Amino acid sequence: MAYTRRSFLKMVGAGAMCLSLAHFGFDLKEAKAYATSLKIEGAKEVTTVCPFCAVCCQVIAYVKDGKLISTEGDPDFPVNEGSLCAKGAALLSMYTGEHRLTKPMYRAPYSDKWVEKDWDWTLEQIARRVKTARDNDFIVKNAKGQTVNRLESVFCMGTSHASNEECAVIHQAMRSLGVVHIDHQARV
Amino acid sequence: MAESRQTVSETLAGIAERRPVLAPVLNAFAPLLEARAALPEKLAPMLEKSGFVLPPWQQERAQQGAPLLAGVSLNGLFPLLRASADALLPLLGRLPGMAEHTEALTAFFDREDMCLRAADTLLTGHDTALAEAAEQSNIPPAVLLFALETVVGPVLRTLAATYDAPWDERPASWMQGFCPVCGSYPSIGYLDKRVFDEKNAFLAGGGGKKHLHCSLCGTEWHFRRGACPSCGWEGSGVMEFLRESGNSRGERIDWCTKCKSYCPVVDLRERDGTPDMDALALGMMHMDIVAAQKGLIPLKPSFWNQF
Repeated sequence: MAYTRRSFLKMVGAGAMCLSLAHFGFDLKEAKAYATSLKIEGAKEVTTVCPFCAVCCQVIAYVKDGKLISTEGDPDFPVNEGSLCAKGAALLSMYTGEHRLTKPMYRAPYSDKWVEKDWDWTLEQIARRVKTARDNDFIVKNAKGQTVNRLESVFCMGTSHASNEECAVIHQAMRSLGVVHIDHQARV
Repeated sequence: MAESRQTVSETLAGIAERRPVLAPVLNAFAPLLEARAALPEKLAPMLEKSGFVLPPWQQERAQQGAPLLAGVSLNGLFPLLRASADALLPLLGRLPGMAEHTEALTAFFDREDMCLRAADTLLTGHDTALAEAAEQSNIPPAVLLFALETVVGPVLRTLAATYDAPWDERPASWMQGFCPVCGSYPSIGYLDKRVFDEKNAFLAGGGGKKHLHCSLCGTEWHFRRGACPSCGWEGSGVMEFLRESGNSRGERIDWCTKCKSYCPVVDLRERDGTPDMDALALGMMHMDIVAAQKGLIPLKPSFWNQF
């Protein structure tokens, strides 16, 4: 039977042809007890993208039990090759910072207090206000009587992290409302 | 790597100081490791005289995953193998339990035909040929394999040292988890240090690129952090690491969540010096024990990671 290099390595990998320290007469009881006594920690390496600017540096996020514990620049990503700017390097503090918003907060007109709201309420408010603005401000014809069907009182601020496809969907959604003021945010 | 490395003895002394429980094993293998590390310098002039034609690095072959020495016979390298055996077999014979095999091993490496055929076998992976050679020589196969790797390793290191790491040139042609020169699996890897770039002090040279270190010929090559060198699976969350909490000095094991294989890795950004990688692979035995307890499989089986 002919064997390939890979099958050979697999066989060796099974330890069938490999010496062990026991063959050399070493008693590993103490070494094993020592290893067992060590406090071991671990984490998963998850690649993600820095949320700050349009360079989109790739980041390795260390995740343990579903929680982020550390970040570093991804050295294999050709754009940043492991480097991060000051903001990107402080990514973990953005995640763990006490000032980070984790729920929608609402401040009513003329109020000086922020109130926590749930997402259903928040999304409905956004939809309602966009519709109100459109109903009130939609321009069908310009001063020359030409049909323009546009909405100038709503401005769309995008994100540099949207993919081409996501940008296309956002663009079409805004255009369907008649929004003409759209910024991709890549320069901000 | 620009920075000079610690010697084998410096590396082992550092480990023994931090982990005295490993000292008996480290002390036993130190002379053999030191002699192995010193040999390529002595063998280099012999390689020049041997007339052995070094195979050229071919991008196309590399892209298909064929190591440099795949299909290459080591004919012409017997003087180097003989010199390596002369230097290492006496040290190997002083290891506990090996003295009884010294005579048979010496006779084996005295015979050019047997020696070259076995060395070629190591590269081509014809396991039955190796088992037959062991049987004919009255040497246990595991002992012959250990001796072969010990003796052939420095010769291949001498060969590998003549190349200027074309496998790491961009665009990358070598994407495999096994060695671009001899095809062996790595015994250890390292994450490289930060490099200060005057022109771009804050936005370049972050370090942390992973390099794998071949267990046989010592070649080092760049490998993606997010990929498993064993099964090749690549993606976010595929690789996990384990390390000693608070006192690891960058020593960890990177393991694949798909195939459960692991490779020891040292993060050089967490250390002052750069250790000898072969010595550190042995000195990270405590992490091999941890890995074995967790049911992980070593990428490169070695005598210190079989329990």
